[in-house]
Amino acid sequence: MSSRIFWIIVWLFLSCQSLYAEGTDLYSFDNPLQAERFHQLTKSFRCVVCQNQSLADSNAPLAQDLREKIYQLVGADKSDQEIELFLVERYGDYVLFKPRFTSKTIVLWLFPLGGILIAFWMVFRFFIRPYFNPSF
Amino acid sequence: MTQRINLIVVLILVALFSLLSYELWFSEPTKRESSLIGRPMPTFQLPNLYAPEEILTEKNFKGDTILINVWATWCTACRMEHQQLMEIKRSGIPIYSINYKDDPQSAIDWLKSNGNPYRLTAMDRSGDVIIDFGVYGTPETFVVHRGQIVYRHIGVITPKDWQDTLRPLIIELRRSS
Repeated sequence: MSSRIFWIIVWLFLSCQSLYAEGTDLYSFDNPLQAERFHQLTKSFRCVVCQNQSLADSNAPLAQDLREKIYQLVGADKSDQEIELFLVERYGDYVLFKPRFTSKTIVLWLFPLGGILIAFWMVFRFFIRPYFNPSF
Repeated sequence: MTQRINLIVVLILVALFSLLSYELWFSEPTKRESSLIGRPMPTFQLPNLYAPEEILTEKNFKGDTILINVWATWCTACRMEHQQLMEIKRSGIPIYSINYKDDPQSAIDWLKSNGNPYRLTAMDRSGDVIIDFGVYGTPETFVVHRGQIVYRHIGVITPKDWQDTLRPLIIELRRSS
């Protein structure tokens, strides 16, 4: 009797697993590489109608449409760059989570570096130099 | 020396706070300039709402300065906009439309009972063409001048939007050409 319950439990666990797999694999791909690219790409684009959600995370109708579009483009063997360009042409740089390095975004990219340099300079100026030169 | 450092620190803080308060109170995250501005209207092939066997393309959307309105019957905001669109039609500016992910029959019924402000309506049931236009959602309206996208309005066109922004823009476009 107890072994039967055990097998029922095992069976229940297994059936849960298969349901779960069906839930995530809405899109079928020719090869696992395409599936991986699809997941990476949908994570790297912003859902433009919802603030701070990626296309992969969002259930907004537009995000669903764009996932479908990316799925088609991946299936048509378009490169990541081509897909990125496709979306940027239509939705602008805003669609990218990782901004491109352009004249407009140069401040954005270099600001942290500048901040670190200033921090180093301040540490040197106010902590290290006075330590060696107490009269200052 | 310390005085100058203090001054720099205060200046940096003031700059940061003004940036933050601007973002908090004055920036409009939902107003984004379309990246299609200044570029030709995307090409498309979509069935005509009233004659599905007829395929409409961007060439069918004729006129020097036209509006292209993206709408759907399931979109409640589009209902709010409808009277304004009828008003615009009466002023003589051609409005074309792309009906988005809708049931053709309910679209026809809706235009029959509320009036049809559109010269032509193309049906985009899959939402493919909408992506080419970079549309965020319904309603959305494009001002197209000689085949080029000049302006994009996201959301309902209120009487104020029409009077303050869209109408002057169209008058200006017509005058300059």
